[in-house]
Amino acid sequence: MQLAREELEQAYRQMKTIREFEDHLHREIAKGTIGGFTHLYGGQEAIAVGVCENLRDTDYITSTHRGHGHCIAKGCDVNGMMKELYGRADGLCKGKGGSMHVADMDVGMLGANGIVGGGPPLATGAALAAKLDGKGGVALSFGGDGSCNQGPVFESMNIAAILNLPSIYVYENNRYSEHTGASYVIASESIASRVEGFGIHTVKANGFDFFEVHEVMKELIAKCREGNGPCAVEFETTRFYGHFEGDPQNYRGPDEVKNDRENNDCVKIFRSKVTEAGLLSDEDLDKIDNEVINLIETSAEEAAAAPAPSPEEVTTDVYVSY
Amino acid sequence: MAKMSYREALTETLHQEMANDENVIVMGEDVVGGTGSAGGPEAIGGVFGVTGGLFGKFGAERVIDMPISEAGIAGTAAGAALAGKRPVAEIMFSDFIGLCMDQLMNQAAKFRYMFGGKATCPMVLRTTYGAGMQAASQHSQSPHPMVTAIPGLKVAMPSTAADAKGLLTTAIRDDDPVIFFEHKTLYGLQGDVPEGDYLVPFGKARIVSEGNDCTLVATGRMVSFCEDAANALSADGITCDIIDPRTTSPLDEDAILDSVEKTGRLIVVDETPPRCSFAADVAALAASEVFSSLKAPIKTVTGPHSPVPFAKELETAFLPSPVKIKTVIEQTVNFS
Amino acid sequence: MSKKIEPLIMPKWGIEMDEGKLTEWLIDEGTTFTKGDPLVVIETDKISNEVEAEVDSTLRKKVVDADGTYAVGALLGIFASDDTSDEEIDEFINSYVAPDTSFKPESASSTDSTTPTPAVEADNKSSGKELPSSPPEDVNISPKAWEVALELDVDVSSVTPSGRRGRISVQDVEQAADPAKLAAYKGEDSSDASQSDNPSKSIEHTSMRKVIAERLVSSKNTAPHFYLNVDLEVDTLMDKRASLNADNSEKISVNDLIIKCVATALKKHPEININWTDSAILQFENADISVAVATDAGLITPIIKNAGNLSVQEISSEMKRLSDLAHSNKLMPSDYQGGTFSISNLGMLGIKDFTAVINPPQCAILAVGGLQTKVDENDGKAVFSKIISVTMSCDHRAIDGAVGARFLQTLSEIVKAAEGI
Repeated sequence: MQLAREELEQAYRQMKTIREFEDHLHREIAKGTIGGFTHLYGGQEAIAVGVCENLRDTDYITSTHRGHGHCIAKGCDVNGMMKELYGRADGLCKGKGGSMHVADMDVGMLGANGIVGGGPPLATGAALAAKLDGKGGVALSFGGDGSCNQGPVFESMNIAAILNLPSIYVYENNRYSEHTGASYVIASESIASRVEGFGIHTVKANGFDFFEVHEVMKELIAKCREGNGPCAVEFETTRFYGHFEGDPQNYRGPDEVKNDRENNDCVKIFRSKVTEAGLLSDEDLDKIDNEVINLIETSAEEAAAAPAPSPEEVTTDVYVSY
Repeated sequence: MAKMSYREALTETLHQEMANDENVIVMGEDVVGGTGSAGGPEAIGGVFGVTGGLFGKFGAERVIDMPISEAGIAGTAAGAALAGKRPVAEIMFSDFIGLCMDQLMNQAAKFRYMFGGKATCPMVLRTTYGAGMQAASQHSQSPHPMVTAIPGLKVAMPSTAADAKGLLTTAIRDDDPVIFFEHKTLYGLQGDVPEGDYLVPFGKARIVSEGNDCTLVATGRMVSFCEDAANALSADGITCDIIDPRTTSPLDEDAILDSVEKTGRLIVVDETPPRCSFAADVAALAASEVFSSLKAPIKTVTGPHSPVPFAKELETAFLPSPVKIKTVIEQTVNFS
Repeated sequence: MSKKIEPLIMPKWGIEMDEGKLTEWLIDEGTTFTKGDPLVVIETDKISNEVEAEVDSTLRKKVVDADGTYAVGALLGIFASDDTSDEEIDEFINSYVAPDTSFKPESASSTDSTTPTPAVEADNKSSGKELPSSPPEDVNISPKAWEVALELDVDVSSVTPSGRRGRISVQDVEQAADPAKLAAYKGEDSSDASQSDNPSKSIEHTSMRKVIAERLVSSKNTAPHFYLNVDLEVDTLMDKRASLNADNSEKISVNDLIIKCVATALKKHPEININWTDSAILQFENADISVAVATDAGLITPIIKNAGNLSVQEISSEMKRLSDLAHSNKLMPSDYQGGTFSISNLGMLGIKDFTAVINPPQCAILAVGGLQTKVDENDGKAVFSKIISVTMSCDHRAIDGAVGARFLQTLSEIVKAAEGI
């Protein structure tokens, strides 16, 4: 592990922030204080953070309906996100977008996406722009296992390959396309094997381990910046929560989630690795935990008390002819 | 008659039609649910629970879980229909019709015509629509005007449990492709539903209530909003005809025009933005056919020309409401 | 352990869940639990599931019993640390408000008390408006048409329908209505004045008024008018008139004299004696002079035909004949259609000078003012002379400025010399 102490602390802080953010939403949504359709990222934090720690603010990402983790990892303001989730006037998207449409152009976050497979074509376009800009920028799309069955995703990977674009396709295989097993809906042996068919350099990796994610991405992104064309990764991961909040998850095996939480929790794995290696102490990590818990609590309290948008906002930010 | 929910009425219809005709097949994302998972199939029965129990009864050959591939689902249904099956495909949210558009607009809709009447495409594309659940811009739309505008497609929009059954039965037995819009907020709506075979013909409006002063035309969830608004005004002696066309294509023009000729006033309520909408379509019909009967300008109550916003306050501002409808009825009846 | 009071509420599972049944409490009051411990069993129409603790705490109070159905958000129980007092817990329960998770809109019936009254309600003037009695059952008529039929006393059974499925429209009723009533009805309806505080009566347009309006608007809009003004010296003419009238009972008017002089001038200036058409200017041999006559019904312009070949006496009697016919509405179309030049005289009404609108397809009209006395200075003495100011309106499409001016010059000379009188 070649990460500096500050980098390790930053990575842990980001993962923990995502975890606490999602756990908070899980509780509040069950109470009915937050509306809408919300898809939580809990369990997959190592991927968002391991990927984004290798990206610059000027690089682009596109995300999915399960996008909070990607947003936080790419640098979106947590308070602004919280307010967005609560539907507040000064939310990151003025309360207009909500969970599935969090975006922040300032940090290269081109939007969560309500359409499965909506992001990869957009990242391909952003990669084209980055290539034309010629500053070594890259564009990266996050997608789930479900997205690899959408036609536009295939079309855009082919386009990236023929145009030799600096675009990276990250597939987070959490074993479920919504409520249906990924093994059933994906015909090929793996997502990676079908992406290779486009002549795109593709890697399969363990998404439970932050360090593996980080290392794989470091190499791929560096190659991509040098003009070697698109690449792709399929990460194995798990989802601690349902497809959406309220999903009773009765399609999952008995103790499947419990088992994942015990043995495949990327935050726990990170903690044990860094403490065992003596890189960070439990006290260091507890301190971060407390700071993060405090951040989420404060931002939630602020969000709950923040003013709602005024109704006139419905017709701003859009061309209205009458 | 049996008391049941809108959702149960749809489920019952699918069971009946699958039993009646072995060519009827059901396909879509999570329509079985849990296929390929540790918990095993039949865990979900559709995200909104409409296709529950079908897999256990009719098996994997006829109740087919599909990948998240909307264009593929629509196209597979269209092709199977062209080859003699009667597929009932589910697109989880009608917003995703965006992904299916080629298969619907250029393929399914046009087979019968392009092929000189020698082919039929008896598919049904069931989908959910409508705002009101804070599902934001990509899960709240009502794209029925878009598909209504395509010749060759039929479009049904049940507003009651009974119509859910009657219209879905008709849709499945119809030889043309039917886009079947189920309103997300109506699944729990209870109502009396006729037992056994029950068909509601396409192009035959439901006269929800009768009155003298104003005609209200609405579909789906907006019908109950109109009823609420009209009820609030009945104390003032203002009474309304409320007409639910049930299908926007074909459209029961006579029911609408007869009513406008009686009342002299027309308000069309729809939860889409206003431009090129169903509301604009009905307003134009009345303006051109029964202009001389009108005592007041035709009004539409629709969303603004904007996407559907997330925040509850914004979504409320976006949507028509009983209060907004009541205000427009008053303006129209008091017009002079 | 959390010190705060935490509510246990009916969870929301699935986007359309409105209520759930608490089938079993899995812990008792006073039980301390840790995150992840099962607390209650909740059943919906789709599933039955355990609710697990999200925090470490103690169940201080079961607010509801097992086996009841409760709305999403309903308070089921209270978690709090042991040092929280019962009073604090009771206060929490009393002030708890469940979030609104339903998708139901506000009912319009409840608006009077909860939302501001819409502005339109103030404009309630016609909610008590008396609607006309209903049309007969067997008559298919639009509501507006029925109102109009009542207003115009039209027997709807005699109206020929033109609408959809044999329906009588407003137009059908209007067609069958008495024209005068219809005009009055439409006048009332369309006049802005009817909205004003100033009482008004509606005066129906006569067909003559409509023709005048149409022709004059057309003239002003299509013919580019320009105006030439000159004072005619009429001392000699007036002397002649006095002597003519002295031994004749049929008095010759100033107007008759002006007509005669104009006719004489037109003979010398055929370029003024014309009509304009799209393809050509028609130049006429004879001066057919239209003379404006004001009648009670409106302005009409009977024609003194071939005035150049008539004596002033003949002109005078023809003018009298036409004027009488005009006042008794008996002019034949041949009496007023055509003409090559017009004269309008308002001198007898004290007008000094004015401009007139050309009467197309003619290209000029002479506006004649009243007799005036003009004072000039000659060798330190005041010299008085009689003049009449005339203004000729010319259609510039056919007549240029100098052409018109030369005509007026000729006319001045003829008048001054009383030529041909």
